[in-house]
Amino acid sequence: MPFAETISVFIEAVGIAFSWPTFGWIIVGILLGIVIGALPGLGPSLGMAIMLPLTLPLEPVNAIILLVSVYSGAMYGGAIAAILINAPGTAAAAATTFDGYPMSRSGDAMKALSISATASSIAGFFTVITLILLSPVLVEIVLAFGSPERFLIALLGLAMITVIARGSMVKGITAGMFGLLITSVGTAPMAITPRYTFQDQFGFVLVEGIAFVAVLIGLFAIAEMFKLAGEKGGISQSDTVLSGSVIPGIRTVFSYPGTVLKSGYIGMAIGSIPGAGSTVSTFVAYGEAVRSAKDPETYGKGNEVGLIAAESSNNGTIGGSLIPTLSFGIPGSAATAVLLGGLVMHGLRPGPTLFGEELVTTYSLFIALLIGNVLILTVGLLLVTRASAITRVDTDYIIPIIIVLALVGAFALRGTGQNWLDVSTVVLLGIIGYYMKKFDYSIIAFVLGVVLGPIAEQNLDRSLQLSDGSWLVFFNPDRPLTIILSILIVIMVLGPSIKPYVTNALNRGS
Amino acid sequence: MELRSFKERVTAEHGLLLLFIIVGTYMFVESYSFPDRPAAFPRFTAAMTVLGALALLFRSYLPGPLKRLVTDSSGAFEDMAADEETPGDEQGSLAEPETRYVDLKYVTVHGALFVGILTSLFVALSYAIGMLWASPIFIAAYLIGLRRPWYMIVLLSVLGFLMAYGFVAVLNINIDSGALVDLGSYL
Repeated sequence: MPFAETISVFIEAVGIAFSWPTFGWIIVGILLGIVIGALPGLGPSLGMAIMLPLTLPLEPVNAIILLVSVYSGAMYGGAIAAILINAPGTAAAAATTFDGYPMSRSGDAMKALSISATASSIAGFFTVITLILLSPVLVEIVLAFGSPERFLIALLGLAMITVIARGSMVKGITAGMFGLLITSVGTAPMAITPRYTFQDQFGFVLVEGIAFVAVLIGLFAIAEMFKLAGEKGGISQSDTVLSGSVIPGIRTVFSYPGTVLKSGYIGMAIGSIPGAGSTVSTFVAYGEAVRSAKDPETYGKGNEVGLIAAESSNNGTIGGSLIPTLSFGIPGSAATAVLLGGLVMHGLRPGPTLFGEELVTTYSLFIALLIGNVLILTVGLLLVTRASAITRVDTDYIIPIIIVLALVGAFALRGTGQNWLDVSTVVLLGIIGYYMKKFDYSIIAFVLGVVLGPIAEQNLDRSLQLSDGSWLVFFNPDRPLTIILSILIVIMVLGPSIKPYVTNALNRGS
Repeated sequence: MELRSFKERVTAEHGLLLLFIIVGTYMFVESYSFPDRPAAFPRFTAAMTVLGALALLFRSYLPGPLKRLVTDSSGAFEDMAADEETPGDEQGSLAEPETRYVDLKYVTVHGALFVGILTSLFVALSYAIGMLWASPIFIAAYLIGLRRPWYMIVLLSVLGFLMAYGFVAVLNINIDSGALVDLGSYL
C-alpha cells in the first residue's frame, strides 16, 4: 500500500476513534475493564468472553474497540487488587504485589496506585505508537504469506504455545488438536459436506457447527467460576488504609523514564511471542530491574522502581500480543485469543484482510488503545480513592452473576435452532475446561485450536489443492518460508527431548 | 486391596483423557464416510488427539526419551524466572489456594461440584420455565447454599432478573417462556 494511502487510512481511523459512539465504547470498555481487572479472581479474558455476546448488536469496529478497551483496562485494574490486598486481580499483576503491597503497608497506597496508573499508561502509549510505526512492515510480512505458510504458522503457533507454557508439551499439543477437532463438527468449509451433525437425532442443529464463542465463554467464564467456587478466600481481608498522595507517584514515574521504556518494550517483545503473555513478561521485566539496580536488596520491600518495571511491562504486553493476533491469527495471550474470537465473530479475518481492505479497522483499534491509555491515567488517578471498595467485593456474589451472564449470553449468540446447543456447549466446555485447568492442560492451546480451526483447514485444503495433494508443498524449495517454518516446528516439537543430549555433548566437548 | 489401589490411582484426568480418546476415535472412524477433501482435516486432528491422549494415559510405561516429552516440564521462561530471586517466593503470594467445601446441612460438597450441580439444574430449569425466571432462582439457590444474608440474596436475585431482562429488551431473545411453562404473558 502506498505511503500516502496509508496516511489517509490512518487519518480516517483517527476520525472513527474520536467519533460518537466509538469514543463512548472506549470509555465504557476501559471503565468495565478496570473494575473487572480489580475484582480478585477475574481477569481480561473472562471479562472479554462475557462481553462477546453483548457486542452482537454493535458495528464490528465498535465491538472490537470495546473488547480491546476492556483488555487494556483490565490489565491496569489487576494492579489495584495487587497493591491494596496482595491478591493480583490478574496473573499478570503478580509481580506488582512484590513492591506494590509493601508500599501500601507502609502508608503509600495512593502513591503506589498512581505509580501504577502512570507507568501503565505511559508504557502502553509508547508501545502502541511503536506498533503503529511497525504496521507498514507488518503489512509486507503478512502479504508474503500464502496458504501453505499460513497453515504452517498456525501449527508453529500451537507448537510455540505448548513449549513456552508450563506443563507437558504433549498435553498442550493434545489440547490444541482437540480444539481443532471440535471445529470439524458442522459443514466443511471447502465442500457442502455435513460432518458429525447427527442429523437423524438432532436434525439441522449441528449443521452450522459448534459456536467458538460458546467455547470461549465456557472455558474462560464457566470454568473459571467453577475453579473460583472451589477455592477458599472469596472475600478479601484488606488491612490497608488508603493513605499517601497521588502527585508524588506521578513525579516518581517521570524520574525513571529508562525503566518505564525498557520494561514496556520487554513487555512488548515477550508479549509478541505466542503463549508467553504478560505473566512472563512482568517477571522478566521485574528481574531485569532488580539485575540492573544498585540497591537490589531493597526490591520486594516497597521499591518504587520495581513497581514501575512490573506495571510498565504489564501494559506494554498488550501492543506486543496484538502483533501475532492481527497478523497471523495467533493469539499472544488468553485475552487476545478472546479478541480473536471477537474478530472472527464480527466477520474480520486476521491476516491480509486486516492489513489490506480492513486496515482502517486495525488502525482504529490502535488509536483506541492510545486513547485508552490516556483514560487509564485519568480514570486511574481519579479512582484511586475509591479503588479499595472494588477489591472488597466478595467473589461469592460475583460467581452466580457471571454464570447467569455467561448462559444468557450464550443463548443469545445464534438463531432459535442453536440456542440450547450453545448453552449446552458453554456448560460442557466449562466442565472440560475446569478439569483441563486442574490438570495443567493448556487452555490457550485448546482455544487457539478452536478459533484457528476453520482458517487452518481452509489453508490446508487450499495448499493441497495447489500441490495436487502433495504434502511437499509444506517443504517447498520454491517457497523458502515453508522450509524455515517447517524446520522451526520440528525444532519446537523435538527441542525439549533433544536438549539434554545436546547439552551433554557440549559439556563433554568443553 | 488391588481394587482399592486401582481406585486411588484413577483420577479425573483419566476421565478427561478417555473423553479425548473416545471422541477422537469416533471422529477418526467416521471421517471415512466423508469424501477425501473434507475428511483430511478431522482425520489428521483426530489421530493426533488420540495419539496424544494415549501417550498421556500410558506415560508411566513409556521409554525414557518419550517419557520426557510426555511428562510435565517447565516452560521456556521458567528457568529464567527460577534464576531470579523474586520476593514473591518469600511472600508466597502465588501459593495454591486451599480447597473450599460447602456445608449443606446434611452433606458437605466441594465448592466446584456445588456450583457445577446448580449450573446444570439452572440449565434444566431454564429449559422448563425460561431463563429469565430461572436466573433469579439460580442466584438465590446459590447464595442460600452459602448462607449469605437475606438482603443480599434478594438484591442479587433482582439484579440477575434485570440483567436477563436486559438481554430480552436489547437482543430480543426468547427466554421469557420455557418448554413446559409459558410465563411470558406475565411480563
